[in-house]
Amino acid sequence: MSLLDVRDLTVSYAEPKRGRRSGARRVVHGVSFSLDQGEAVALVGESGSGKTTTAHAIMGLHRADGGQILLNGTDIARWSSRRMESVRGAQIGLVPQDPGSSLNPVKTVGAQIGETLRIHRKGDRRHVRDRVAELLVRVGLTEEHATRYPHELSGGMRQRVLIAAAIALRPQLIIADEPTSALDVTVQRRILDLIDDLRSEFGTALLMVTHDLGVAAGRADRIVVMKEGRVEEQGPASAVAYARRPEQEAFRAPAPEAPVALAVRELVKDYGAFRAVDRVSFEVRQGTTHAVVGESGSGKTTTARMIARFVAPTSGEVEVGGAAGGRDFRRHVQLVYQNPYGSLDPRQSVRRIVEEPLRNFRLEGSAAELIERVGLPADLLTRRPRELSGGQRQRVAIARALAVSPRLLVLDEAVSALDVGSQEQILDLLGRLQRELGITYLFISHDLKVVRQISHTVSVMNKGKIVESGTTRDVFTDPQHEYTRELLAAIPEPVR
Amino acid sequence: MRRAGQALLVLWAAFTASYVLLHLLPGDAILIKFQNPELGLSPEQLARIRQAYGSDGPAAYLHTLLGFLRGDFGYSIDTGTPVVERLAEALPETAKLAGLGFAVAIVLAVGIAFTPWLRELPSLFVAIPVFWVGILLIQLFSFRLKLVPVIGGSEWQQLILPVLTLAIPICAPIAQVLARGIDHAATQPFVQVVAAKGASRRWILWRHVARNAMLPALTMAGLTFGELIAGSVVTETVFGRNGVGRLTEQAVSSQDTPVLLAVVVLTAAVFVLVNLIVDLLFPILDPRLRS
Repeated sequence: MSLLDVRDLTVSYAEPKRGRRSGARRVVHGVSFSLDQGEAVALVGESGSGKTTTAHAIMGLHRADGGQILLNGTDIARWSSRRMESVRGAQIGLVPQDPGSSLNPVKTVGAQIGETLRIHRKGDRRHVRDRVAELLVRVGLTEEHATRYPHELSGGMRQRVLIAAAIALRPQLIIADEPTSALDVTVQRRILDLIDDLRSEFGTALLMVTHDLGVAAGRADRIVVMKEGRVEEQGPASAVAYARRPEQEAFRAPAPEAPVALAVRELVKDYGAFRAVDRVSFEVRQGTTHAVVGESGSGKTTTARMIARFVAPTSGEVEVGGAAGGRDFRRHVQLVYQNPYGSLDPRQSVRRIVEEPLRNFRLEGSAAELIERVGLPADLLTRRPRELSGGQRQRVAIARALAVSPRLLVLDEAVSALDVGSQEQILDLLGRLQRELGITYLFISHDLKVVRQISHTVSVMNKGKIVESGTTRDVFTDPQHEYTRELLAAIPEPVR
Repeated sequence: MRRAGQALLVLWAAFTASYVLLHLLPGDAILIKFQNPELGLSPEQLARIRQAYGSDGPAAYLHTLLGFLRGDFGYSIDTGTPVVERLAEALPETAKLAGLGFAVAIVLAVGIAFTPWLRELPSLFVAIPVFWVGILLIQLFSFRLKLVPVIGGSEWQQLILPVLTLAIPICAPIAQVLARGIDHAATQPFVQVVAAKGASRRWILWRHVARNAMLPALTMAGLTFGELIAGSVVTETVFGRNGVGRLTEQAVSSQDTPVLLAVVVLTAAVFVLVNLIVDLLFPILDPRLRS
C-alpha cells in the first residue's frame, strides 16, 4: 500500500465577484499520482500549473471537490478542516515557500517550533523545551536560537527553523513547497542537503513542489510534471529530467566594439564601520549587457543603486556616457526592480503609469506605442496592476522605463520573482529591445542560469568586492576564483 | 529619555498656545464679573482689579508659567477658590467616567472586530456625535424601557448611560483599525504555516492573528484618548454630571481663564502620557522594534 495515493483529484477556487460574474474556477483537473513510504517525489511545473494547490489540498488547506486522497489507505479528501487538524503536523509536515514571511514576527523561534508539539499535546512544558533544543541542534542551529525572533535570523536559518517545526512530530510525509526558491544558491544546496539527511535518518517520505527541474532531478526519486492543472508526465526522475533537459544555451557573442556607455571607478560605500561595496570598478560597452552576480549581502544591489544615483557613494565615480547630472540624469538611466507589483502604483491605470515619465519630462510619446513595444495588448491600458500577471507587470515596468528612451537600463533582479516561462519571455523581450534600440543593460542577479543567457560580460561579487570578471563564456567555463567555482557548482543542473 | 523631553515640549507648547488664544479673545472674565452696571465700577477701578489678578503682559505669562511648574494653577476668577481645589473636586468623577468609558470602548471594539457579521457593517458608529448617542440612550433605556433611572438611582446606575455614551463613538475607529489588522494578519503566509502544524482556527486567531493585529489598534487607542476627553465634556453636560468636562463648560461660558488653562494643560498632560506609554509598549509587543 502506498503512503499517499492521490486519485483523480480536482480542486477549484472560488472566483472573487467581479461585476455580476462569480463562480468557481477549476485549477486542478483529475490529478493522480502516488508516493511510497520513504520515497521522494517532485511535483514540477510553472506557476499556475496547480502544483501548490495540489499540495495544499493534500494537507486539507484547500478543499478538494472531487477524487480521493488516500493516506495509508484512508480517504481524507472529504474530511472537514477540523478533522484534518489531527493529520496536519502529526502525519504530514509542511515546509513552506518563503522563509521571510512564514514565521510569526512577534513570537520566538523556540515557541514556533514547540508549537507543533503543544498543538498536538505532546509532553509538558519541560519536555517541549528539551525537544525544541534537540530539534534546533538537529537542523544545524544551536539551543540559544530558541529565544531569538525571526527577524534576527538569515533566510537560510529561518528555513532551518521551519524544517525543525515540520519534523517535530516525525511525520511520515513532508510536503516542501518551493523550499529554497527564495534562497541563494549556496544556501539552497545546504538546505536541500539537510532535508535529504533528515529523510534518510527518519525514513520520511517527501513531496517536493518546485518549478526547478534541476532541483527536482537532483533530489527526487520520481518526478510528476504538471501543466495547466493536469499531470503532463510522470516517471523516474532521471528519465523525466533527461527528456526535458533545456537546450544548452549558447553564450552570447562577445561584445561588439562600441564606445563605453558606463564606467564605474573605485566605487566605495560605507555604512558606519561596515564597507558594503569595496572599490568596485568595471566598464560596459554601449548596446551590451553586463551582469553583476552575487548572493544576498554581496553588495550588488548597493552598487546598482549608486549607479542609478539613489544612494550616494562614499567615494569613487560613475560615468554614464552622454548623461549630465541633476534631473536630466533620469532621462538617461532608468531602473527596473525585482518586485513589479511594489513598484507600480496600485491605484493608477497602466496608461497613467506608463505616461508618467512622459509627463514629468514633457516628452512626446504614446502609452499605446510603448505597451505594444513590450508585447502587451492595447486593451491592458485601462487595467490596474493587480489585474495583471507577474510577467505582465514586469512588462509594464519595462515600458515605463523605456518611455524616456534611456541609454542605460539597470535591471535589479528584474526576472527573479517570475516563473520560468515568464522569465524566458522577459529575457527574450530584453534581448529584442537591445537589438532594436541599442540600450545598455546592467543586470543585477543572483541567478546564474539567467545571467548566462543574457549577459555579454559578467562581474562576480562577494562581500562587497568583485572577485572575478570577464566575458560570460570565460567566467562560466573557466572560473578562476574559488568563490565563482562554488557558485557554479551549486547550480542544480537537470543532467550533469 | 528623548521621548520624555519631547513630551515636556508638547506640554509647554499646549500651555503657551492656549494662553495666547485665551488672552486674544475679546472680553475676559474680569469684565464679565465686574462690569455689571449695578456694581458701578469705573474703568480705572476695573484696570486696578485686573492688575490685582495679574492677568496682563509678558510678565503675567511668565508668572503663570512658573506657577504651573510649581503646581500652582492660580485662582478661579469665577468663584475665587484655588483652581487646584476645583480640579481636585472634578477630577475623580471624570477619571471614573473616562476610565470606564475607555475600558468599555475596548471591549466593544474587540467584540465588533471579532464578530464577522458586525464587521460587515461599514464604519459602524464612526460618524455618530456623542451628544446624540447620549440623548438616544436616555430615550431608549430610561424613558421607553425604564431600565435605568435618569435621576436618582445608585452611583453605578448613574454611570451606565454616560459610560456607554462615551464608549460608543470611541470604539468605532479602534474596531475599524483592529478589524483591518485582523484581515491583514490573517492573510500572512505564517498563518497557513501554523494551520499546517494542525492548529485550530481558534488557536490561530488568538495566538497569532490577534497579537499582530493589536499593534495598529494600540496606536489608534492612544489617539482616541483625546476624543475621550472631548467626549466627556459633552457627556457630562448631557447627563448633568460634575466633572472636569462640566467644569470646562462652565469655565468657557464665564471665560474663567485660569481654570481653562489648567484644564488644557492637564488634558494635554494626560494625552501625552498615554501616548508615551503606548510608544513604550510597542517594543514589548513587537520584538522587531527593540534595538
